[in-house]
Amino acid sequence: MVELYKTSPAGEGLPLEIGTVSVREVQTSLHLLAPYRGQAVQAASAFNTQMGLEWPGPNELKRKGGVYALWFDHAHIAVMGTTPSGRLARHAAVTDVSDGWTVLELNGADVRAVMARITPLDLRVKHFKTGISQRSSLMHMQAVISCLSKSRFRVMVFRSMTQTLLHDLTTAMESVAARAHLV
Amino acid sequence: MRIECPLCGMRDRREFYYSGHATALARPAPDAGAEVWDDYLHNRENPAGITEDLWHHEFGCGAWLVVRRDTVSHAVLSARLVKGDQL
Repeated sequence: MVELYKTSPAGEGLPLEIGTVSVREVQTSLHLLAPYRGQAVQAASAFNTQMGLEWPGPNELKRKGGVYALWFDHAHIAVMGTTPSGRLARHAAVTDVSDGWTVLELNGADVRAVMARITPLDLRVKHFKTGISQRSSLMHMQAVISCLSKSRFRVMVFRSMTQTLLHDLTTAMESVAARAHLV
Repeated sequence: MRIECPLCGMRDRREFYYSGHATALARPAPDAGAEVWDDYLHNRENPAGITEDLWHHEFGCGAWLVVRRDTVSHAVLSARLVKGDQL
């Protein structure tokens, strides 16, 4: 059998640092959970028992150490940083999509100013707080945008769009950094 | 223009895709007859006032919404999930 190697979506394009903002890739497992019809309550309860985390409601991100559970869309939640127990499969469809998504972490003082150039979300600190994860557009891509702290965000897009994401991020970071020299 | 998605909250219009009047949800029975089916497929009201459309939150949660809006004032009055409707 052919030996397959795991490759990083961003490869040598990262890490990146422009102005006050840095971008790095997060290598993590990613599973989607979709409760079967009529099984939402049971799935949430089994999830709570086995993961020690609450089932995230709309726009929520729950975290316990290196394990993240986040609301993903109207039908799914996502689990990052661990493999969900097989017992959850009784109540929900569990899909490993680790190789389908690119996860980047943005960190720095101007991170909200950078994001404001590429997504229509309300990025003000009092609206987009720590522990919130939202679906929105990032330029022309369907993205997951999660707030880890005041100046730290996680951004996820389809793996095939990684280079586009890096291009759009670079442009936005350069623009924000350039403006810093004008004032 | 903004639409308040029941799941995501108040969002910009560019996150949504428009897909015509909500009458598409009221699918007639297969044996309802040619006239009823013709009406369902092709005939739409064009009201000056309140109407209901289907919108897809394609850059958000991916849910289909029924959005109630006023064609005269352009006010968006409400939005609800299609999921849960009797289809």
